[in-house]
Amino acid sequence: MPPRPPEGAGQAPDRWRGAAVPGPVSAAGGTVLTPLLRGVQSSMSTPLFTASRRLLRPPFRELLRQIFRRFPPSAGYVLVCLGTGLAGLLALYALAIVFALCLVGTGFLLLPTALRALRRFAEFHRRQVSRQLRVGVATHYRLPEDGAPPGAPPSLRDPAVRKDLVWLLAHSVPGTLTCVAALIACGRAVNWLSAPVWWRLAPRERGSIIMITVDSWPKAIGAMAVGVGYAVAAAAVLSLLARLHALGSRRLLTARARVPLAQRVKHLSVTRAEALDAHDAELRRIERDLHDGAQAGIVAVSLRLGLIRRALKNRPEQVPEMVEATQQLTQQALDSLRQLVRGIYPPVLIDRGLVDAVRALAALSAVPTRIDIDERAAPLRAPAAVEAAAYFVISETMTNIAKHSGADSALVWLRITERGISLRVEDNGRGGASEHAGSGIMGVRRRVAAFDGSTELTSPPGGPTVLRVEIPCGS
Amino acid sequence: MRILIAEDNALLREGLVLLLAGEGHEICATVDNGDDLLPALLEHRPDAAVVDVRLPPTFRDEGLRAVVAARREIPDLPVLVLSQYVERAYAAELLAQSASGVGYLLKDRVGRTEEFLEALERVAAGGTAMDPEVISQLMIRKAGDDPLGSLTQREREVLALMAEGQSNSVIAESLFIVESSVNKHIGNIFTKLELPAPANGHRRVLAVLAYLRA
Repeated sequence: MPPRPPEGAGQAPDRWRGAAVPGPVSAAGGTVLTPLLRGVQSSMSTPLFTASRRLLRPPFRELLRQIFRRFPPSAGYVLVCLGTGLAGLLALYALAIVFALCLVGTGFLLLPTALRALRRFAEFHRRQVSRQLRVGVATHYRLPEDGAPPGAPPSLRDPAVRKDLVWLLAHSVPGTLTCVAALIACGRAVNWLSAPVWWRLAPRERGSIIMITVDSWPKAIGAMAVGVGYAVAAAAVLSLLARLHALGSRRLLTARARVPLAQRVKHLSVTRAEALDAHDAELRRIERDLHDGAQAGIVAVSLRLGLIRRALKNRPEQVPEMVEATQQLTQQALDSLRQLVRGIYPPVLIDRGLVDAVRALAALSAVPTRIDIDERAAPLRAPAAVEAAAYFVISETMTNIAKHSGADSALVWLRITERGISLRVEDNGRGGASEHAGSGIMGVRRRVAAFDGSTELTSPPGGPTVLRVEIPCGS
Repeated sequence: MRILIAEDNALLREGLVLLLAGEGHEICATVDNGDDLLPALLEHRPDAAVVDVRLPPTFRDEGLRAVVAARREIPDLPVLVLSQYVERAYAAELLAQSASGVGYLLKDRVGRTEEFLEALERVAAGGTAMDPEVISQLMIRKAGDDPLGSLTQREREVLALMAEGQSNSVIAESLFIVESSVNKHIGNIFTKLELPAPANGHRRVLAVLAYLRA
């Protein structure tokens, strides 16, 4: 850790805090700046100064920072949505024509194409929402039925497709209006801010754009000051509307899996078989590791001891060296045994539970990792197998992040409830992770599927990569 | 003696080399996977081979399969097979061809260096060396079976030691009886197992085979 700079010579936030809340920090500060500030403070306690000082207090500064940080992505989202919303109006029109044509029969030829286009459109917007909310957004389209060719067109019988239609309507009409409202607010702010410009350039137009008539410099500057406040408010409103828009879209774009019972049973038997396979493979791995690792190690030690016994008779001078080598072999055998046991069931899970085990994982990760765990959930213990699966998922994902993502920060979000475990692992790496690139995600999906859980991976090229996993506790 | 070693665990392989070279044997080759084993056995034709049952790439029984194939080419090629655990099927497969020059030991036995070396010598000389563990497992299974069921407790003990490949004097020593009693027991065993009379060493092997295959 680098040495801390002396008190008072710190960065601006420290000084501000010292000035606004005179306390031990400024009192003990032996530098020139702090007393100076205090002097300014006492001589200029005008209402205006107090107000601005209050405005720039840390909580408010943090709020401002948040608003400005959120503004660019939110503005981008709103602009894209405006575009897709207008396109959606055209799409609605086109769909209406297709449906109308269905009444005379010819529409049925166009329907598959139209529904495919709708799905692509919805998928595009899912990616936008996913980026805006930084969570995975996925829906459960009905799986193709038996005998249907892969890539069969979406069907209107699929509730998820019908939900997409509702989304299209909502996105095109109220969605577009929301975007327009957000952009109008920003436009107003620009109008106020640019008062001096158009007052100078087009004096005849004065007063027609904002509520006051700008005809002098003080008025123009006053208008700009109002503009600043307006801009902050507009940025906040825009971010808020973008978020509401995205949340609404997510709700409409996410359909629950409602599959027929027969299909559900089939799915369960497949995942169960996969789980048994995985279990089998795991047992084979453990057996092999035990026999070829730990046992062979012990046999090697035993063999060395035999050699030592013979050396005691013939070459006693070599014995100390041989004992040394044998001890090293013992250590190796122990190490391989320890590793093996960890792989079967991490001991930390038994001792501390999932929460602390995940904390330990994050602390040991090569990529700096933040954790977001609901502390109140810590005493809750899920069934051991579920905890082990969650631990496996997180540990596997963190390994993947360290190996492939190129990320420099990651986040593990974990919630344990009586109904199950929800977790999310994000990184800011290069994205583009797919199930086919490595078996890591595949293994995660299998392990989760064994508990009838769900795995969602979103990883657009350029990142961020987000893995969401839900594992229900079977109770 | 020229010895070939097939073992994938490097530590164990080194240990075996150390032990056998220290005894003045020549290690003509070491192999660490199943694919190279058969060509190496055929090329070097060692006086004895020490082979791990389970070798890469599949870690199943490629060591054993290579040995069986090699012994088809070179009958009675002396082979001492090491296994992590007792598997009756392995022993049976080995003995299916011929019981001479065959050994089947648990890996653990290599730590008892004297016994291990002795077993190796015995196999190289055309004898057998069966792990006591193999024998005792078979014994439990055989307890009620005919014709072995007709053997007395003592005769079964003698047969078990014979199956391990021990000589009469060693058998007498381990059972704390005189060698003439051992001879008498062996005679009884031959009679009860209905083995033909010709007095050659093969009858001994046949008895063991009858015992192991029954």
